[in-house]
Amino acid sequence: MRKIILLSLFALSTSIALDAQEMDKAFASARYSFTHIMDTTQPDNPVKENMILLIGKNMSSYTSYDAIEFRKKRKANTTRMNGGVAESVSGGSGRGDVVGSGSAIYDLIDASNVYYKDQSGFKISYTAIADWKLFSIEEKMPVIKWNITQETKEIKGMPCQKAIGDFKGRSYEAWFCSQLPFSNGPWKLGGLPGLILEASDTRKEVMFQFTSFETDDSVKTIIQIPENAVKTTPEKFNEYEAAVKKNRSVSAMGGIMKLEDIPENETIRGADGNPIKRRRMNNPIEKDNSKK
Amino acid sequence: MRTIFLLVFIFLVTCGCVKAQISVTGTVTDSLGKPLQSVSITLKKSNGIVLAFAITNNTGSYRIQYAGVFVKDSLLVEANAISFKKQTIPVTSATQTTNFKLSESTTKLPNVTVKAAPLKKEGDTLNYDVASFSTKQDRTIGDVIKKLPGVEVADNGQISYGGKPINRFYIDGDNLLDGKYNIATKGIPNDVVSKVQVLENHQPINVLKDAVKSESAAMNIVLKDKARLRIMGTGDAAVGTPSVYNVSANAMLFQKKVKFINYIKMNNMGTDNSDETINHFGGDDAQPVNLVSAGAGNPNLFKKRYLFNNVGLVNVNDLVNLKNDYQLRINAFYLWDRQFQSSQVKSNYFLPNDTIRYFEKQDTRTISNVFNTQFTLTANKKDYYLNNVTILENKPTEVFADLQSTTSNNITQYLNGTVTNVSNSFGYVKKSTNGQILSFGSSINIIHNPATFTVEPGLYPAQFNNNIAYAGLIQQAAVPTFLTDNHVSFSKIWPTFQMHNKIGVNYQAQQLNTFLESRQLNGSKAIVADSFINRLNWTRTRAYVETEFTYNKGIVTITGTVPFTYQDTRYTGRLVKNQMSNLLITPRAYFKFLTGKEAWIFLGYSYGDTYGGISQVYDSYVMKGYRSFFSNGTLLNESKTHGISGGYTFKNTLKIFFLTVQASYMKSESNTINDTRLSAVLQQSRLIPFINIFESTSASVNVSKYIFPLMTTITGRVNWQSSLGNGLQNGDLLQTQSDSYTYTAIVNSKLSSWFNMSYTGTYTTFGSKPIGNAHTTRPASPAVEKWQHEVSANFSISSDFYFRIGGDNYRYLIPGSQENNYTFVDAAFTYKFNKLKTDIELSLTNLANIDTYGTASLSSNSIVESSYRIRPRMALVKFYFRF
Repeated sequence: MRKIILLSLFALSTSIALDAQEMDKAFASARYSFTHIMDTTQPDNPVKENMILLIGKNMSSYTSYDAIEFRKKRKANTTRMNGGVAESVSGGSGRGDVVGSGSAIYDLIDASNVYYKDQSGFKISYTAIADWKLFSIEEKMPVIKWNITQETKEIKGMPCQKAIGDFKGRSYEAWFCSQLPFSNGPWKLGGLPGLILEASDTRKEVMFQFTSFETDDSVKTIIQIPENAVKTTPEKFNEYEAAVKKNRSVSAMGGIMKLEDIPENETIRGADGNPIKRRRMNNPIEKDNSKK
Repeated sequence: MRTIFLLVFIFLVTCGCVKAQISVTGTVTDSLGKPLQSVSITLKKSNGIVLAFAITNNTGSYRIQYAGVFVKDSLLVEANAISFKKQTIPVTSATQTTNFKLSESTTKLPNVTVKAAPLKKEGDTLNYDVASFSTKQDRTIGDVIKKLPGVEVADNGQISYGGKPINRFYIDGDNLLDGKYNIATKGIPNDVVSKVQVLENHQPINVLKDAVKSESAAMNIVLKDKARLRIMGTGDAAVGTPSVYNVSANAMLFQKKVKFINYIKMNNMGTDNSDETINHFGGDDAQPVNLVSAGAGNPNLFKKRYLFNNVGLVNVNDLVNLKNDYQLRINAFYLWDRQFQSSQVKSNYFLPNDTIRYFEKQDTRTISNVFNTQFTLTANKKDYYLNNVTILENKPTEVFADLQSTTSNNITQYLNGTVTNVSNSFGYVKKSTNGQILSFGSSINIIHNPATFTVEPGLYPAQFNNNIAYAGLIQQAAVPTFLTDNHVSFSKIWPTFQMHNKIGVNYQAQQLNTFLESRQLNGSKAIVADSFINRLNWTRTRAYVETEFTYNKGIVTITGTVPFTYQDTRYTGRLVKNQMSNLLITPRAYFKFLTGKEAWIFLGYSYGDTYGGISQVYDSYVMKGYRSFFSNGTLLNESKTHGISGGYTFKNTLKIFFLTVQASYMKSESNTINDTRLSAVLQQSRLIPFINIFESTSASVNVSKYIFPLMTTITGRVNWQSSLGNGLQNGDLLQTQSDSYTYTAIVNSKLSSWFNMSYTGTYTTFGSKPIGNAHTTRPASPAVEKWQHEVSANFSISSDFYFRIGGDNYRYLIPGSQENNYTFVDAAFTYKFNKLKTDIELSLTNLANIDTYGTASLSSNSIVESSYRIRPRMALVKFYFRF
């Protein structure tokens, strides 16, 4: 009963984001390869994903490039009527496990896991799904106290300078490029006088490595927080998600199964038929906030 | 005490050093005075190193503070924002107010592009990154496909992967060209293709996707987005000496709904445009052979070296994706082709009691016109598949040959024939709700091929015209043919086990009508003799039942097929009437075992029992050349063949390494042998009963590796073949064993941005020796050796100016004959007008101006020496353009 009240309260307190100003057009994109040792018992088996940062004048978005490619292929497979070509895809992005099917669910999944930075509003929003609803989790743009060193190096021919700063329980080493005058970077990182091309925490458990920067026509897409996303705060979202998880009966469809939710004794096989070595999340990117 | 000491220390430190605290504040506005937010303000050393920074807030103001700088350093404050001009102001005092007013400008940002992995594997799909394998000199996607590790391209353009020809060729997922994919490989520019995909184990029919495993691969060309937008045009125009030209214009469209490649090409410079009409998926239907032909063989050189031609081709290939998943396609071409050839052939046959020599000098002109239209309607849906193909072809051909020979000094051969072919094939596959698959197929094919073959003057009057001089001989020949095949099949699919049952009827009705006339000097014609008339009616009906089992679990695949065929053959000639019924059981089995993620072994066995066709039972002579007369007797040849093959394939896609090892053994037993009778003037041939055993063993190794630091693909191949067979010549039975080895090395290298090269080298030895028969004392002939090298080196002198030099070398060592060595050198300069999308190329071909080419072939009882006129030196100016 308590949970139901909680959920209804939550629903009341949220409002749908329909701010027409929260929209921008990307003019540049940067791609990163992201490595995260999420299971410290398996340091050799990190999560690896290619990410893309789309940069507009006021807004930027950061999401999985692998997922975009996967989506393209899925669309090609489902919409291509002439058939014939089997583009078998191994879901490397770790988001392939979907309960149910249908394009509505795909649309929802496609809209999730995107970080939006709003430079003028000094806020950062993250889209996520719970109970088959899309949420836009909004927080203040983090202020990282960067300490600029005089160390320089070239990354893919771009001159970079090193800065050190603490963020969410980790100490990061970031390489920024002042030739690219965007106070931006991968994930939630930013706030330097140039784009962050490379960043890693001192234990090398979280790493963002630059792969490309492009300004051609292909990047000129619209950056916009999905209009159907329900605005909320991290605290409220976590409460809601926990409630959904604990009480699956509340949710009609049970939410999205994450790899971590599957019981330990079940074997999961990858595209090649071999069992996947499973990781347990024991090392989140954002460590305890109080440690900051 | 300690605190006092510390205080003193701090005092000393702060006063004793020349350090200062720097503080810069101010605002940033645009040229109209509007505050700018999120602008990076940096405090920099003159060498560009950032010491401190600030980001402007929503009122455009900032504040930089920095401690610990030597005052002497010249420092700068810089405001840098996208779409504004960067502004730098020197720091002059420790506390300074600097307001920036930025003027707008377009900032050009540097691009750092991703270098895609040259080869990436995703499931059953290999993705070759086209840019990684392209060089600046490549023009079409075929130039790049040739260089892909693991992919083989034959001289006729056929593409193979893992030793097997591909079963489909797609452009952006659509099968526009079917087997005529040379059109795409020679037409689509490589710079509009982003990747080439090899789809392993590709089952083109969606309904059968999980039901019938395919062992063949398909290729898909993935285009860049820009190539999908609008009609793309390419073309070229060239003129040169000695009076050569080449023109082409090609319009292509590759949209989701509509795709086409329509073009016209003409040249007389030795480019064989008929290559683009080859259907690599052409069926092995029992097409009637043309009984007569004229013209000599071709030299074993690259075609461009010897082909004298004047050819034009209009090719239309259009595909429309209709509503409801239906697809309609039209592939049509018109080819007009003139080919010219001059050759000399000296043949020596060593018979036990005699040596027979022929000498021929021949000038040949071949004129062929081909009209071919194909309509295809396809629906490739999840629940059913429908395919209907209608082909109409008309192919008139004329061959004129002027000969000088030992028989006569002035012989004219003239062949005039037209082949008309109409066919339709229909296929339907349906999946029922319980997972069973039903299919139906029906094909029908009607062929007419009347031909007239004339030899003048009247030769051998003693044999053909009662010893009276006459004008010539006229051979008439036609094999009208009707073929139809109809079958239904039913498949039951379990997860690891599949069973396919097929039942069908195949019917062929043919006639073979030939007669030889003599033309008298007064112009009248008369049939030469009864023994030159064939009137044969032939029908063959086959009813077949076939069961195929496939077991597939994890790493093991086993397939077994047992076809039972009841065959009824009837033929009636002028003298013979024959009917025979046979029950043929021809099982096949295939076994595949995965030994690793990307490695497997396979083993196959097949048994074949085939009977000859109508062209093997005519019993009256047919004139095939001025000195060749053939008949077959009335005996129908039967061949029983056992074949065993096995192999191992290993790949490592990550390291780009491919290895294929294959071996096969074949033994066939026929009940007839071809009895050839040679005389100084004539050659006759007929089939006689004989237990004729032929054995062949072959093995091959194929290795392909991409070397990353050198950006080089290296391919190596070794083939060995040994065979044992019989020949009967003038009553002399020859049992011959022959062995041949072929070694091939291919290197494609992009060594640096200004230099790339390719090399193909082949070394072949061929030897044969007579065995068994005691009454001949012929020694084993020493092996013939042959080397062939083809090399091309490309230099980029600047970003728009290239130079290419290359050529090919052929060397033969034939025992008892002189060594033949030929080297052809070509060079070309290309200048690119990037703005105009135009290239201009000056090319020089056959710089050494070699105009004849000689070769010899050797068998255990003959030496044939031939020489051909080949294309002389050629200089050509060529414009390539895009529109």
